[in-house]
Amino acid sequence: MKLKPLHTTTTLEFYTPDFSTEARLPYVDAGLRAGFPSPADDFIELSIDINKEYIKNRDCTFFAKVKGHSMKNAGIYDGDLLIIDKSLEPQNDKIAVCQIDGNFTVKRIKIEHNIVWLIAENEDFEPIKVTPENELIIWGIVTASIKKF
Amino acid sequence: MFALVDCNNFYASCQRVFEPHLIGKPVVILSNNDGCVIARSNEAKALGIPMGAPAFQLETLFKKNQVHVYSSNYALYGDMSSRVMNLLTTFTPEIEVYSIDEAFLKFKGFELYNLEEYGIKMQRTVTKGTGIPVSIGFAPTKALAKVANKIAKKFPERTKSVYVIDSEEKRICLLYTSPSPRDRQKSRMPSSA
Repeated sequence: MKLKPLHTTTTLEFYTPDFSTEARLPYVDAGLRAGFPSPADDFIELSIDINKEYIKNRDCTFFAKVKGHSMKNAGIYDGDLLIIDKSLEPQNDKIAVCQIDGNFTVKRIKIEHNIVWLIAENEDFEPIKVTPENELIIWGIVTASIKKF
Repeated sequence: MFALVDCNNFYASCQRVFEPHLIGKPVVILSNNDGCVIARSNEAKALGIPMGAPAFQLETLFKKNQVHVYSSNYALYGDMSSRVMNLLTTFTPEIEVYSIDEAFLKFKGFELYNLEEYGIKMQRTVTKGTGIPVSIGFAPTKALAKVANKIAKKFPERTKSVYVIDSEEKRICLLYTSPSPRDRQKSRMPSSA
């Protein structure tokens, strides 16, 4: 899967998925069971396509490389590649790419007593309380993060 | 029935997907090598920036009105266009991509559908999923769909960006109020002519 750059900001680098290549990898079913083997095992899909596995709405999916460590406790580190679905509705507890007052940021959405908070997953960052003076746009919902070792 | 789906100020809207702070501000996109104005947001249109105008003639106007000026980024526009078009194919099997930012859709066998509601659903799906706002006009012919689209684009609040010409009265009324090609030619000619 190649990455085509779309746009770069100070906090995120956006890419578009490229579906022209396909890499089907053999899928090893987890869990070896003792006893009689399940007859259904003969019919399971034997390969996994990462595109299909991680991208549900391909036309609404964008990738973005993260800059910074504000979400490290959620397992998102500098340089990780986020998969973002723009078609999903924002929900409490979801991790979202937001734009607040003109700046892109990745934060967890918390809705409490009709107040929206943007929570960083890092002790060094204070939660952001969204007030009517702030201009908040929930740009898309983060559905996965890809990490290279 | 046909529908014409047209992206609003397409190049400027593509730019705004990744720079939402540009929403509500004047944005213009320049042609290759930053020669001429090839796309304008509504705010830029309101400033009287003409389509096709050479950029060097407008420098002071750009500065004075804090116009956000961008070089064209066709890789981005092409990507966003294919997303919009792909989403549209989920609503009808027959689609004719007419240009980078517009497509005709044929709705054959949709007699039992409320096309206005269906159109609003299409409009929402595309605008939410891609960030590109679109306007949709439905009518019995492609030419009339274009006229319906103009109405949807001109009155986004009243029409929810979707307009259907589904009666003879609507058709006649709209054709009376729409400028004919001859009127357009007249308005482009110098006043002395």
